[in-house]
Amino acid sequence: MSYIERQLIDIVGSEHVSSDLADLVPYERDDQFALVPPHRPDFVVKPSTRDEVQAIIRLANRYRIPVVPLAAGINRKGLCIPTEAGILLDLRRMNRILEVNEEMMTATIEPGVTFGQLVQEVSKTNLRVITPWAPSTVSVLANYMLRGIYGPATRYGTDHLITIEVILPNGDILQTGSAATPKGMPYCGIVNGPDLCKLFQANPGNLGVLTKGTLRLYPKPEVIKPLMTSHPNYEAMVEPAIKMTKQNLVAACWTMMFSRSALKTLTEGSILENFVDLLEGDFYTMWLYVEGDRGQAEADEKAVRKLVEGAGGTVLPIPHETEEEMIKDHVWGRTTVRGWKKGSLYGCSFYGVMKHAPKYYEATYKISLKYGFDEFHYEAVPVAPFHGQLAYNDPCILWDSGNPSEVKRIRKLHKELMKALLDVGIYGWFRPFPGVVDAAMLGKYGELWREIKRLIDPNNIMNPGKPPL
Amino acid sequence: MKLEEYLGELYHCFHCHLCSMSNWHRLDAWVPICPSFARFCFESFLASGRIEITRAIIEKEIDKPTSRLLESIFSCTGCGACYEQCKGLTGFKANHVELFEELKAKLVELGWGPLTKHAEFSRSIRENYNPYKEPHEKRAAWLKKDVPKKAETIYFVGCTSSYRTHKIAEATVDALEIAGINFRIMHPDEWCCGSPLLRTGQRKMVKDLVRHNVDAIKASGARRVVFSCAGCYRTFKKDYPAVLGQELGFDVLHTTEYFSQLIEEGKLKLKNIVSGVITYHDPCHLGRGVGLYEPPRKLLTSMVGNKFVEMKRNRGDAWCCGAGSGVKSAFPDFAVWAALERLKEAKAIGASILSSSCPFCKHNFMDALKQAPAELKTLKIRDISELVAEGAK
Repeated sequence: MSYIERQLIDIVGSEHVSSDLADLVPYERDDQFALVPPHRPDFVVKPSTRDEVQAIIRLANRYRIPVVPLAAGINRKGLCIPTEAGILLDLRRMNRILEVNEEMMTATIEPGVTFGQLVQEVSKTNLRVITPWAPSTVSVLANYMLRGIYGPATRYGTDHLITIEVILPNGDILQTGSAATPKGMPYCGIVNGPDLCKLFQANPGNLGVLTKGTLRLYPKPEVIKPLMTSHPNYEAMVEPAIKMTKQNLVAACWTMMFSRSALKTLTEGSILENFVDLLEGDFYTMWLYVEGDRGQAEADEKAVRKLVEGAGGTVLPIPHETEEEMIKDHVWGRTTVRGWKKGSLYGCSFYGVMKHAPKYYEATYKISLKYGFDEFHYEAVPVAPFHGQLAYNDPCILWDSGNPSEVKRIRKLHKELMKALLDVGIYGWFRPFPGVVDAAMLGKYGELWREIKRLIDPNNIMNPGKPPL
Repeated sequence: MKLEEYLGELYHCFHCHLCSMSNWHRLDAWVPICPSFARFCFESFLASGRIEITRAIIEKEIDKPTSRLLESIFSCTGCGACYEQCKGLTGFKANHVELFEELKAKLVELGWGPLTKHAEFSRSIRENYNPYKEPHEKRAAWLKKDVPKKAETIYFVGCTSSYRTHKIAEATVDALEIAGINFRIMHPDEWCCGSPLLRTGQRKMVKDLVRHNVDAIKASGARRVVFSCAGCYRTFKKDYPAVLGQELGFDVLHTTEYFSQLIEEGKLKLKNIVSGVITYHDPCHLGRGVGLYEPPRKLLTSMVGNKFVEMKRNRGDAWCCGAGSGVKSAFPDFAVWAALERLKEAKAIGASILSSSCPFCKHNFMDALKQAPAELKTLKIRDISELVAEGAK
């Protein structure tokens, strides 16, 4: 046993440290292994308190050992694949909900708390958690730190964190916002200077380890009603989507395209499978959510229907079961993993301009077909605040990651697809994914981003090899 | 399917961890479902971690065993809860139970397994035809009455009821007698069904056990075999045809199915002998294993009406008792911990009786009860056969 392992055991106890291959292998790869090569950590360490995290970080900093924090155990797109081995800091044991404050409309939680756990706790109040279209097994804080896309509630934007507590790479503890004041109240992001919480957001765990966060909760609406529409092509969805977003009629508005073959795979075994057989070509649809008190929801629905029908679209009848499932997934994501039904899901998500969605879609679909992937899906979603027509976009390909020839093709496609999107013009990539974000292309902004990383983490121990470096 | 043939499929697990939690859409609750992950909390003790380990073994990235590796693989109770959550929802199409059984067999084939405790019961099965190191001639020592030597129906008692939970065997015999069923038991021709070996990757001897039991049943002229053990039942129903490559040629029924039939035919009439609230634990072999969920509930409801109350985790979302796949012998503390979790769940809904339909579940619950805190000790553990026998008297 190495000296470092003995030290780690002293900090968290032998049952929470492992350097055994069997414990390391599960962390070496995620489903994006085609784009981010697998790499094993040297140790898995599972702290349960802030003090333990602090002691681990001090040890790592002293001996220049890389640390990759992983909140609730779910890795995405290589963010937590160690580039240089080191310590995989699994924070799942830090799963305490420290406070749900109805008066302040906030919750204060640890990083291992999942959406499922928090939704259950908050359901005892009249408040709600804004949840992503991701399985409820994901970490709330990791998702909020990386800025998710909050499926049926994009009206509420992407920023739900107020203050955070971070163990910096030298072991110091930083409180952001009003949590930094002598009273230590965590309910306000504003203090006397810049909002440092935002400095740490959208960084891939490379400036420190989050040990606590306070987030916004929202009033529970009386009614949530999903609507589904169909349209003749992508372009036909964009104008009504922009209008209903600007008029604040919908809590979310997903414009989507499914190729016929993608839809066939996604609906396999469900009651919708037969419906796909009737389709003549690709399917263009909007998933819309109206919500509020009953009167407001009904008025909004009426206005939405008028906009859809005025643009040549059709509002589809939704079977009660499907509606129930959509609402369940609104608050408690589970079925969102269906995108992986072919075996893997390639995505290259980004922020762009809503009116350009047809251009992004056409460019990426063409490339997908060029590489022989006809199971294609595209989605563009207006996000609040809608200034600049801010829209989350995601070209998705259902593919088979167990097929080596498809792995090779996806690698080639990825580069071409990113270039095509940059040529059309995007605001930025969705998250700081390795193999996607290149800080060198961002001029002075990229330089400063790197400088900030060097300033806070001079020994580069925190998740090295990830953007911006 | 050989382990190597799973390789392409292993790349399809994207570690969403749905396999770690019960179906929260159905239950409206956030509760864990994988006992080994809930207990050990390392990724390697969850299906997604074990899938990565399997991949690494096939690709020879892992080329020698460690005790930790064996602990991770053999602490899987084979309960199938992970598969229940994953199937149809994700792109991972393999059946986790079959995959991990194949993995265990591979580890034995490589000489990395079996675990010492598992090798011990394998030896005992070879010598005594049971895993409990008990003499074969005492297999029917629990039987206090004469039963016919020839009958169309056979009651296959199983090793656990023969040597550890006699009351289940006695009750089954009583219930069958009350219903007027002409039945026999197989002793001395009843041998271990082979389940403990199949679940721990020790396949060498299984074919001999299967052939012996099937030949003995066929030679007896029986048309129907009834099981009070969920493990034996699943093994006969699912594994035997696969091992033999053909249908068995006789019907196999679990007692909960058979008793339900007998009630419908008017041969059994049950009265309520329970005063408090009763709940039911789905044995993994019976529930997720073969999809038999309703007959036990029908029996209980017919006896106690609305005093039958479900635990939060039920049917496909049931929490495993923790005993299966050799876990009880190799990891006894873990097995008891998992059972205690279930006892707490039963107590939380106000149950005074926790019923089940598997002697191995009962055996493990009884062991847990011995170590349980005072507030759980009032809970009674009863097999449905016992309740039926009492209710039918």
